[in-house]
Amino acid sequence: MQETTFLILTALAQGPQHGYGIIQDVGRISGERVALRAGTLYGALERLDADGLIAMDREEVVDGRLRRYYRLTDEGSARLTEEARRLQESAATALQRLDAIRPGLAGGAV
Amino acid sequence: MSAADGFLIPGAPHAELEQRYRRLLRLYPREFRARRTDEMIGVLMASAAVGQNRPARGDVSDIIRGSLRERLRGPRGGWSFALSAFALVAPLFLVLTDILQVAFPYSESRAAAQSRISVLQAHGVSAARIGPSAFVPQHVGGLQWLGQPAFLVLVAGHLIVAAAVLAGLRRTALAALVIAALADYTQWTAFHVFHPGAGTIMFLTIPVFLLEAIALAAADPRAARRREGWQYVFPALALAVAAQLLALSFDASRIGEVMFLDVSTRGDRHVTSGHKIVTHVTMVHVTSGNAIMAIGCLLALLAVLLPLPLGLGWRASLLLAAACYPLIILVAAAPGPSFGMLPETLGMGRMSAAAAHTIIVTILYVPPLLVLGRAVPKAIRARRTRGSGELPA
Repeated sequence: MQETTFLILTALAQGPQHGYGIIQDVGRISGERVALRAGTLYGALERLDADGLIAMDREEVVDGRLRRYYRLTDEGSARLTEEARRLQESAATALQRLDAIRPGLAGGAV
Repeated sequence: MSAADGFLIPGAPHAELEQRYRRLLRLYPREFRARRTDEMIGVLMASAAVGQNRPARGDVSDIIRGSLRERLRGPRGGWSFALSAFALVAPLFLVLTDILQVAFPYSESRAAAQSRISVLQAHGVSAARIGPSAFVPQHVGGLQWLGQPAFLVLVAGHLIVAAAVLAGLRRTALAALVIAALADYTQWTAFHVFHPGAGTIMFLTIPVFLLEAIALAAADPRAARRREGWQYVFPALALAVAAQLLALSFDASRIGEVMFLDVSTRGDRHVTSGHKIVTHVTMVHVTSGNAIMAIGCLLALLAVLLPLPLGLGWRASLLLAAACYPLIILVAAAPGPSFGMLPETLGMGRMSAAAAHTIIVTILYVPPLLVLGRAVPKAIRARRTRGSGELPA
């Protein structure tokens, strides 16, 4: 799973969000490291929707602008769970090994 | 001022910015634009700075990249869609080839048989060596095939594949496909002419067999039906079939060349070393068929390009091209004023028959193998993650 995909799914794990909300949330989650733009976001949403990982939740019109809210599907949360566990395991392994070489440097491995 | 942004105050800087963004979004395919433009404008405008009247540079490059990706992918694009749509539609093609074999029988003329047999005799090939059936005029296809067990197994296999695919029984479809392929092979080896009604159909169905097996292994054919517009694959495949049909109606007098292929596949050194004389026979016999071949190629080209405007994505194009590509070999092998560059260099003359055979087989198998190389690992990975995902839950 690409990082962008992972972050978008993570953003939606909190509840349905619209496009701009996802962009802001992804910025927050990644510590402002990932700045999503419209082209990338909608390419990803399109793919995730086609794969059945997300679905449209509702539409709203705010200040004459269309807002579509997306939510995670069951399949989407299952895939996100898998991916998060995988990342967690890899990170734990990395920290453990680093801690074995130079204790304390990895900053408190699990 | 267009109707789309009529709700904005005319002359406001943001109205100008919005118009510029809308112009930029025209890069996306029409179908995508219809669904996404308003939403994307909302996001783009929300992230615009106060007083900004030109699209941000980062957004411009992002939109250009995104639109390119979307155009290449097609709205329904992706390997899983292309493969599942192919798996769903291709059995139709296989059943059609069976109908063709019954509908277009071929009988070798006495003269053609005579010259073919004389070449065999000139190279000391005896009836004892390759069987007496090679020394009589060949009759291929037609209603009498309905009495042949191998052909009936073939037809039954194809029908089962089609039904199983519709019912979503992938394993049954794969098993029936393998049995049908074996029956096809058995039948094909029983003939000594490489005729459009038999050998060539076998030749043309090889990639479809292979691709269908790959598609079934990698994707669920029913998945395509869940997506809007999968039926657009039908016109594209119909064109591909029409292209093959035209190729099949190509003049059946290419007996010499046929011999070359037939003999070389038998791996008889003594016979294959005489391929120059075989070339000569080919040249004498082939006089017509190039116009038909040209129309066939044109149709094949249309079939391959059609998925793009239909929004099926380039992967669907690639699969159709793979289904059509034996036509390219037929074209290359057809001697004549406008075609036939290949026989001079390929096999008949400078190159050995073995080398030529390797080249033909390579051309025939490489595209499906490329697809296989990409699709199968992906499917295995997807299955593995899905499988491991079920354990902790």
